[in-house]
Amino acid sequence: MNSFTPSALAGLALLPLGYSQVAGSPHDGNAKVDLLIADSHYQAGKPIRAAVRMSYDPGYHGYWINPGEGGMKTEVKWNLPDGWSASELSFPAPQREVTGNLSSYAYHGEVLLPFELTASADASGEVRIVGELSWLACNDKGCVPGDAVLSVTLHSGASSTSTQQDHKLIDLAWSQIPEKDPLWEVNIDDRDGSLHFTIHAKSDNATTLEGAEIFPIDEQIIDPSSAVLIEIGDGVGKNFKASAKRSEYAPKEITSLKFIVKSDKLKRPILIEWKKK
Amino acid sequence: MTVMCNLPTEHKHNVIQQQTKSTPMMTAKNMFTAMVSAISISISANAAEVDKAAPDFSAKDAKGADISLSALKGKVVVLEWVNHECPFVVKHYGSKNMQKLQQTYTAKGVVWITINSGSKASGSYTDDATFIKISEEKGSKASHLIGDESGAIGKAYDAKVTPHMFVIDAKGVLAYNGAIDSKKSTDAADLAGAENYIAKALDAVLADKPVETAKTEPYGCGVKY
Repeated sequence: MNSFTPSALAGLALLPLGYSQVAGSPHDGNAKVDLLIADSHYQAGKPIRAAVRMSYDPGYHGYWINPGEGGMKTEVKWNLPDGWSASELSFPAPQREVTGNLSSYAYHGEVLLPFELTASADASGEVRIVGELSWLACNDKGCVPGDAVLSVTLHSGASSTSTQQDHKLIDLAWSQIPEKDPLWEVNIDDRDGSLHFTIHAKSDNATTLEGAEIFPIDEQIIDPSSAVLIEIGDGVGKNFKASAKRSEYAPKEITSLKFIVKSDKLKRPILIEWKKK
Repeated sequence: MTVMCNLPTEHKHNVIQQQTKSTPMMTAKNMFTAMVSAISISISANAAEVDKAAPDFSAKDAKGADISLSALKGKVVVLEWVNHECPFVVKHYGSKNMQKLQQTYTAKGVVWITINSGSKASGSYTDDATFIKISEEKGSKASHLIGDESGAIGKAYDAKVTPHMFVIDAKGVLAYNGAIDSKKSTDAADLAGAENYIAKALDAVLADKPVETAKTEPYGCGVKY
């Protein structure tokens, strides 16, 4: 059995991010895409952090989980060994993008969509993970669909240091994903064709949400044609408010809304799942 | 191609008259010029509302025939917004889904009008000859093709994307406004599992029944006005 000296291992860590194990970067649909894996070794029954990395060509944009008007969200269909599972892709906060008459929730440049793979309880040996990624990239002239096969070969055993850089990128990607925060209480009042948000912080030390932007995860509830910006609210304590025009496709009664609050004053966007009482 | 929007009198909207500059004392010649250059454009945001009269329009189709929606009363009409460069349109034409729908329903007496509202500057514009050629190459079974490069018809209907579908019943009332089907994707494999909104709307209208799903959010590439 070969043994590696520490310097050889260090050399491996500097190799371009495990490309020898991950299929090369397909370029189609005006984006470069590849699959990052936090560890090329798995342990049976345990999760492995991973991410789909997309880099849209200059001038083109891709879409968020709720693409807004037009567009299409990025999806992946996995082909996994028996008993293995993959979580849904997670999406960092988008920006509002107006192209012609359409307003969408979009990404420019590079974006990482983290997810988790979980090895089956009886996993052993070498396994191949394959996924078919599909997305849409658009500019003001038109849209181009993208399809790519992403794959990685994993081995059972102790953690490998060869994917250290990917590990850091993936951790950073996860840190940008919206997360619930029990500090915030939200109420939504649906009247006069708009949703009126009131957001109350349970602590007076809470970061201000003034100037923050609301993005709806649920489609067809909020009209994307205007930005939903948060202002200082009324009453005692840290209160904020915003109003969003109803989508023309929204149902008569809105009983729930999943949305995020994005602000560069926040460490990470807030995920809120509001349900009508 | 000139487009004149003849607006039904019972329809509430704002109408802009575009006129040449006039001085308080207009000569007969100036008045004539002003009248000839006047274009009526509806700026009503909700002109194409389900269960209301569909916005009327008159235009020449790509073969030069005069088409007027009000003259089609008594027929069920489909308006299909197209851009053959759009991957969502490619899904429906590449799979022959759109052509089959056109064939099925024109055989039942439906007048199917395919419209391209891409402006000349946009890149998705096709002149009449090109529009005819591409449609023939793809085996389109549409009754008429209309090049709407001024965007007047598109804007009257607020056609947002391609494909965006409208069904107008025999009385001239808008019965469906929205997506061709329920699956927002560019993959033809998704056609089989999708709810076929346009077919269901047409079947209902032809059977004189109410359309169950009359308004949906259309998916596709933005119309390039």
